[in-house]
Amino acid sequence: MKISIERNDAYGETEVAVKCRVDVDGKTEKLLAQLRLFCDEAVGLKNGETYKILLSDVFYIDCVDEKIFLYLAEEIYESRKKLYEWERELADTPFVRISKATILNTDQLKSVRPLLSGKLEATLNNGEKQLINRHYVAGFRQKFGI
Amino acid sequence: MNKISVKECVFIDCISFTVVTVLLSTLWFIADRTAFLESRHLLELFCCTTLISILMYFTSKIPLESQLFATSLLLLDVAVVILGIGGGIFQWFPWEGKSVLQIIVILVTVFFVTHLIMVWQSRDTAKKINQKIKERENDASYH
Repeated sequence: MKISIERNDAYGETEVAVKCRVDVDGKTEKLLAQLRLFCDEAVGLKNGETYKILLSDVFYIDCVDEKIFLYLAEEIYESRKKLYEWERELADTPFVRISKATILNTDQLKSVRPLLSGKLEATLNNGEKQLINRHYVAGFRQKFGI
Repeated sequence: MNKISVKECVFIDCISFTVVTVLLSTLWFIADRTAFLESRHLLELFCCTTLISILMYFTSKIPLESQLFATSLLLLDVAVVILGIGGGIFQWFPWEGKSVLQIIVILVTVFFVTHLIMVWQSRDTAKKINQKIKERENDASYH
């Protein structure tokens, strides 16, 4: 993979252009997913105000009482999108469904630990813990190429 | 309770059949060194383990929050097939208090061994994922 960088003060906003074949290989697919995640923004609501949030800053997306919340390191924002919409949108990113109500960002994962019930307990970079249901373990493994 | 997939259902069937066969062969060998398991017995055993995994597949769809309740329900699936089909139809044992108690002890043991194997599998998964996380962290710090 070749990387070329053009630096010029005439440029305004940084633009990333990826030139690749139509049938992209795994490495390129991964790069595109990371770029998408890094650039994509979500709209979060808090105290009646709207905020732009970088998806890479989201630790997990959770559904509580039919409301969707985006959990960052220390802050929580509400989202208007449904969980299935998020799941569809984040299909090719490090986000993965870990339970009926939660989608986790595996980039914010610190470690996992097995539980006697067959579930896995995920510890996130901010110390928070989330349970990965047995039903979703296969998909979770796939995100790590296992 | 987590829904059991068809793949897991086959996995449960294979492991439980293997464990029961090994356990019974060992017990029979200890009790009578000339005794052996007939192919009819093995087919009956396979029929029961398959029925149990099919029952588990359906009962796992019942929405239960408590893990203890869910595990007890799976154990009940085993008990129903062994006592009903094994004891009732295949007549593996007489329907007496002592025999029924012995069977319950055996099936609880098999159930927990199967459960332990699944836990061991999940430990292996966790180990591999933690390794991948470490590799990713090393890659990030290198770049």
